[in-house]
Amino acid sequence: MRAAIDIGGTFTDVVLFDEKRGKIFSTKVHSNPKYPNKAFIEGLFHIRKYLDSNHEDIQELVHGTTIVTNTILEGNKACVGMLVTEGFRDILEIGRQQRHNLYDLMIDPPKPLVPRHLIKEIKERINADGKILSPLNIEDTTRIIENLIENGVESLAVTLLFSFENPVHEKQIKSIGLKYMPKDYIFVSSEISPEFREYERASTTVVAAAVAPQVIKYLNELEKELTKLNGSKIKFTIMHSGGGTILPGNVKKQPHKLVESGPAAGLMAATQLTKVLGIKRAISFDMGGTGAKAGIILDGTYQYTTEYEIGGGIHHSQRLKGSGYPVRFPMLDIAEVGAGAGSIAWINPGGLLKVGPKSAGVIPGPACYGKGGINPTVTDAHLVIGHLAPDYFLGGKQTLFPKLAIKTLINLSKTVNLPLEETAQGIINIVNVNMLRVLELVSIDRGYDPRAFTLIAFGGAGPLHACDLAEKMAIKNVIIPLLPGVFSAWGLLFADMSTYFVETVMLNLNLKNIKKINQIFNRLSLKANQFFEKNKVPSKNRSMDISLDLRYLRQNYELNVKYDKLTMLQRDLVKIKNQFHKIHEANYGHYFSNAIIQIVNIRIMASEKLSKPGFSKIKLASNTSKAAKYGTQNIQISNYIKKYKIYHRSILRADHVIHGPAIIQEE
Amino acid sequence: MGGSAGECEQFLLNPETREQKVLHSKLSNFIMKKGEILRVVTAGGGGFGPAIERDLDLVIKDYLSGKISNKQLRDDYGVVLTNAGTVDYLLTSNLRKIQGG
Repeated sequence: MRAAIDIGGTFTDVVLFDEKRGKIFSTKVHSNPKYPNKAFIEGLFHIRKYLDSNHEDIQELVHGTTIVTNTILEGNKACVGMLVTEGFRDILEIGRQQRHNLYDLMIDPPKPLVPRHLIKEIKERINADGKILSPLNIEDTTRIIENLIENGVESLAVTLLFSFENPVHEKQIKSIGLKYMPKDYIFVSSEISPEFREYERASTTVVAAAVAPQVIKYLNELEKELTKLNGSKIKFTIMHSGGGTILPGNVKKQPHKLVESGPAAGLMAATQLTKVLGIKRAISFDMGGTGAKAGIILDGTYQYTTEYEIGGGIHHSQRLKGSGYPVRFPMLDIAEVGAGAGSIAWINPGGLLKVGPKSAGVIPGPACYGKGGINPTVTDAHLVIGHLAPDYFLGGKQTLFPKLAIKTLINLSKTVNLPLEETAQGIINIVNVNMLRVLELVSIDRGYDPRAFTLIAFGGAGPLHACDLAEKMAIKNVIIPLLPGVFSAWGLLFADMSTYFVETVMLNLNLKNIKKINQIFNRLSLKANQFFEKNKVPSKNRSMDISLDLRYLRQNYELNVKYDKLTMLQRDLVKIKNQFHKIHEANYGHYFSNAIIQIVNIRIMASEKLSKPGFSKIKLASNTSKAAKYGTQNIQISNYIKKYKIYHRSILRADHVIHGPAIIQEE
Repeated sequence: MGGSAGECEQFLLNPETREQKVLHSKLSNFIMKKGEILRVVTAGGGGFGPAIERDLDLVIKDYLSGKISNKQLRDDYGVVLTNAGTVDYLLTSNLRKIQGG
C-alpha cells in the first residue's frame, strides 16, 4: 500500500491507496506553517487509524512539502559562510543586474543570503579548460574556515570558478571543512549544480546551504515518526520539483531540489489522468486556499523549466526576474498566482473592489468558518450566493456559518454601493480574472490555442471556478477528477523516483567532436547506472531521459532538445540540427540553417518507472439516464432567482446527463 | 546631494604590469591580443549627505563587510577604532568635529 501526505499553504492532504480493496482513503487536515511536522504527524495518525482498522501495513509513503520555500521566506535560514575564488566576493550582490521593476528608481534588490563579511575569497585559480593556474593554499583556506566558524557560521557554501570543469579545489576545501562541521552542512557547487554560469551555480549552492539545517532537522523528525508507524520497513520518499521522488538521504545532500515540491504533484496527477483517458492536450488547474497553479500537458508529458527564483515576486502571474534567489534544477513549468478560496476582498484607495493577494490563511480562515475571521473572502462570497452547502463543507467536517459571511459582506457591499449578492458575485468575477491570467500564461502566451484543450480542475476550490473559466477561455471540456480536493496528493502516488545528471560540454556539434561527446555520454550514463545500482532499481524499471542544451555558436542562451540515445552517430547530427532549428523557430520565429550549433550541456534524467495505481472506471447507470436529484436550491443574484438542482457525486453514473444549472456535491 | 565627489570610470589595459595603459572611456574598434587583460573600474557615486554624519553602526557594518578600507574609515567617515577594533568614541567625536570644520 502506498500513502501520500501533501502539505499545502492551507490544508494538508492525506491519500492512501488500498490496492487490495481497490479503495482510496483520503482526508484533509489543517496545515501548520510554523510547525509543518505537526500536520504530517496528524496525517500519519489518520493513516494509522485506517491501517489498524483494516489490519494492513503500508510499504511506501510519499511526501510533498513546502519546507524549503518556507525556510527562505520566513527567515529561519542557517548562518552560511561562503568561499569563492579571489575576485568574486560580490558574485551574489552583483547577480545578473536584472531590474524586476524597470521604472522604479528605488527598488531594493534581494538581500544576498550570505552577508559580505561571511563571504571569503580563496587564492586559487582554474581556467576554462580545467587547468590549474594557481593551486589552492591549504593553510590559508584552513585559517579562513576557522575564522568563519568563529563568526558563528553553521553551514558552508563553496563555489569556485570553473569547478564544473575541474572540481579538485572544491573537493580539497570540503575535506578541510569536514574537520570543523558535519558533511551534511558543507555544499560545493560542483556537486550541487555542475554547470556553467557562475552566478546561478553560486546562488543554488548558497540556497542549499541556507536551508540544509532546517530541512535535515525536519526530515529527521519525520523519519522518527515513521519508525513509530511501521518500524523501519516503510520506504519514505519526498517529491522534488522535477516531478519525481527522492530519498531523504539524497535530500540532505541536495535540499534545493525540494523548492517546488508541492505544486509539482498536482501536475503529475493531471498528466497521469490524461494518459488514462487518452487526452492529447490538457491544462491542469489547481486552486487551493492561498494560491492557484496551472500547467500544460501535451501528449502525456509536462514541460520543464530550469529558471526559477525562490522567494521571487510574481506580477500578473509572470515571475519577476531578479526579484529572488535563483535555484537551478529542472522543474515542472508551472504558472502561479497568489489568489485562492481564502483570498480577502478589499477596496483600494480609488474605490475599486480587489481580491487578494492577502489571504485569511488557516487561522482565522474565512469569516464563515467562525474562527474569528472578519474579512470577506472568496469562500464567503460563494456561501452567500449559495454555491456552498453550509452543512456539507469538507464532507460535513467543517460547519460554515452563513450569518458571519453575510455580516462581513454587507460591510463591503455598503462601501461599493451594490446589493449583497452582486457584491459576492463581483468578488468571484474578480478572482476569476486572476485565475484566467495563469491559464492564459501557460496556453495563449506560449502559442497554444486553449480551445483545443481540456481543462482538468482540482484543488479545494478549482472545481467551483472551472466552468466559468472554461467558458471564458472557450474550452469545451472540463474534467473534475474524483476527490478533487486531494488530487494533488494523489499525484504523489504516481511519482517515480528520479534524479538527474548534467555535464557542461561547450563543443560544436560536428563530426570531429563526436568522440568527445560520446565520452561525456558514457560518463553520465555510468553515473545514472550507479544511481540505479545504489537504489536497487531492477533493470526492467530503469529509464533514462536524455536531452541536449543547444545554441547557435556565439548565442548567449540555449534551448533544450530531447534526444533518445546514449551514443551519437554521424547520421544523428543532421537530425539533431534540424530538431534544434525547429525549436529555435518555435521560440523565436526564425532559424539559421547554416549556422554552427554548439552543445552547452548534456542532461540525463534517470528514473525508476513503477507500476501506477489505476483509476477505477465509473459504472454505467442501470436503467435510466436520469441521475437522482438530491434536492434543489434557490440562488439569488440581485433581483433574479435561479433554481439549482443538487446532485451527490457518489450516485452519479458514467452516462448520466445533467441539465444545468446544477451543483454537484462530493464528500 | 550634499555628499562627496564621485569617482570616475577607468578602463585599464594590462593593469599592474609594465605595459599598463589607461584607455579612453568611449573606445571602439579596439583589438585586444590573446592573453591581455582589461580592467573596467566602474564609476562610483559620492554618497547622499556628508559622510561624517553617517550613523556609526552603519559605518562599522560597511567596514566589517569590507566595503570601505581602514584609510577611508578615518579620512572620509571620521571614525577611529581602538586597538581592539571597537569604535573609539572620544577620538571619533573629535575627528568628526575637525572634519566638519
